[in-house]
Amino acid sequence: MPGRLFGKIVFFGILIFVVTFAFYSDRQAGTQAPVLYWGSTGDYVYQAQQRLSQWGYYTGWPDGVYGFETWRAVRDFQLNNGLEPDGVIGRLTWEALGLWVPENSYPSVSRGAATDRDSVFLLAQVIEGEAADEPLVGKVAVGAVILNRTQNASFPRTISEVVFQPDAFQVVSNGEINRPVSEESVQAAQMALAGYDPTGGALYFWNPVTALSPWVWSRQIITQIGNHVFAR
Amino acid sequence: MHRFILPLVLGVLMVVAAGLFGYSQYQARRGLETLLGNKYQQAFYDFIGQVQSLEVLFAKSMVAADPRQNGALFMDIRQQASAAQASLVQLPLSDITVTRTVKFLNQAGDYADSLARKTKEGRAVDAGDWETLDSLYRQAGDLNRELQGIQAVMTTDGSFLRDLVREAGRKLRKPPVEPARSDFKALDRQMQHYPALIYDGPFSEHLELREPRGLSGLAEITKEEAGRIALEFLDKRPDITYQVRVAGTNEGTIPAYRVELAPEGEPGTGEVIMDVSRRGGKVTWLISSRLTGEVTLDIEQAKTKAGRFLQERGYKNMQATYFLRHGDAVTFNFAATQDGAVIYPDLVKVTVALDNGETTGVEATGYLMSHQKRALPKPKLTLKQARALLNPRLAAEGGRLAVIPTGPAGEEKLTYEFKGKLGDDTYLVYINALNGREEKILKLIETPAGTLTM
Repeated sequence: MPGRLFGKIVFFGILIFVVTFAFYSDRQAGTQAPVLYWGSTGDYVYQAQQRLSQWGYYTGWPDGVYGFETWRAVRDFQLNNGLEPDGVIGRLTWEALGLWVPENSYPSVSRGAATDRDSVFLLAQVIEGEAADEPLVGKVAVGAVILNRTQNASFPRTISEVVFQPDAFQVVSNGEINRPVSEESVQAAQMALAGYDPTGGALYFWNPVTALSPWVWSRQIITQIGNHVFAR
Repeated sequence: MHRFILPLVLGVLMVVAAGLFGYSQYQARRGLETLLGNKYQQAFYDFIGQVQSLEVLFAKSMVAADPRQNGALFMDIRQQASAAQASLVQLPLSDITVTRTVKFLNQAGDYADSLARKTKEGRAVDAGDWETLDSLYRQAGDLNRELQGIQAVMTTDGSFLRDLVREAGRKLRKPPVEPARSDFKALDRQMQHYPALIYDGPFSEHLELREPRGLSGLAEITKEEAGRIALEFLDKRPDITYQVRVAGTNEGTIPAYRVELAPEGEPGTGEVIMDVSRRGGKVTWLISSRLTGEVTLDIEQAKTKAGRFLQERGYKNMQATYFLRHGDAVTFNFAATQDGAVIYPDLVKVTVALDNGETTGVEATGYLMSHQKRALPKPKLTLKQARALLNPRLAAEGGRLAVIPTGPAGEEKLTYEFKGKLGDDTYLVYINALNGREEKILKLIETPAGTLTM
């Protein structure tokens, strides 16, 4: 019965097609780390798999698909960390994985300029996107550049205006800013808001290896930290 | 025959499904494009309207004779400039394209703000101010004309904003070639022809040339000395030798040598990086990358450690004013004190890890920029007199002398600082110790992460 087989293939083809897109659009809609469970797909699953694999729970290849292996790894991880072993990655499990930061860890005020938790988080998101692989000092430096811009006449005055100014930051333009942030990025954001500025007043930064715009090189370079150069 | 029916039906279904899916995607895309285009149009028209009001307001401000009228106009200018700036940065134009226009708007608003303050304090707007106002008026006029031109193009062929929308969807970092942007580029170039504005406000041009007061008169150091100073400054762990490397320089606000210190034989336990100023050999900042272990100290113990750390490194008479806990570390603000007054501009931040009390961060740029031996005036008001000037609804306690920064160019005022409560909220109020003016009000927001310690 080759016809029936063909039909089955087509049927499952459509099913997979529809399901994939359903999940695809679902993932696109959520901006914060979503709840993941068996059947989930996408970057967040990949991220969780990577972390679980680093910590020795997940033995498979991180492929972005929440299957049996992932489910088992999550359950083991939850059992070892005193969490309800339900095989679902919710807020608590995200936190335990160190990929999500508990809400009450943000400060609410600093002297002079009021700094609230949303600016910490926004700053941390840009830092995570632009400098995830940099050492702490390189992360603080990226945060400091954003804050220096708010103090400079040639740039908008608020953190959100600076961050969302068109083309100003690559991670904002390509949407990667909505990834979950690491604890180190939050710490770097808080240090930058507390006044740490390892750049000495820089307004621009770029990676000399990957920067394509010839324009950036016309700026006066002040210093280098990690893989980024900083300029005024 | 009938064995082909099922596959045929399914095949047709698949084609229909794909078609429907494609069409819905197309619809969604169209919808989003229209939405985005409308947002841009709104921002653009807002921007034109705001620049027009700016031009008119500047004109009026030169005609007004009554200082009260002028004060109101300056506040309006400030508001319109800030709104125009906010509209402009929403347009899909890169930060590079609009730099000078943003600068003009920021400075115009900022300048109006400084004039508003001036009139409020009873000082007259002088000839120099008129000239600046006139220049800003002409600049706003030019900006307006350019914008009218862009708008004319837009209304005749309508392609302008569509281009911008398309452009916004395209990949980044490609050289911008589209015509829409070149109009704005021309506009931005136009803003270049005006002279620099110097006035009493945070965006005034002369502020970028500030010299670190805390380093004036000190000698230049060599690279080798920088390494030695860095090692001396470091909060060293016992029984560990550090490898010192002068790794680069910093040509920023305070020119400095970059020094990296790595604990020998213990890789991965945290490199410490710091800048040592070329003039005077002072550490401007320090950041350790060590991961913090289990918390064993409380905030009070950490504060003692931070205080001792500063004391041992030559920062005498410092007082902890405020702390902020982040993760497993706490950052303390230490202000200098002189003649019994807290000197808030001279601030050093010290971060202490809560596992072993090690100092993992120091930021002294602010201190080095402003610290000097001050000739503090003698207060004309007593503490009691100053307290009597507070709002009677405020339940105030204590009170102490404090020097606070009041201007962007390092202006300072001697005040009495009062902590007061109104309802559940706590405020800091600063009364000028010479003339009794209320200089500043700060509201305290207390959170588990940090609060002001007095």
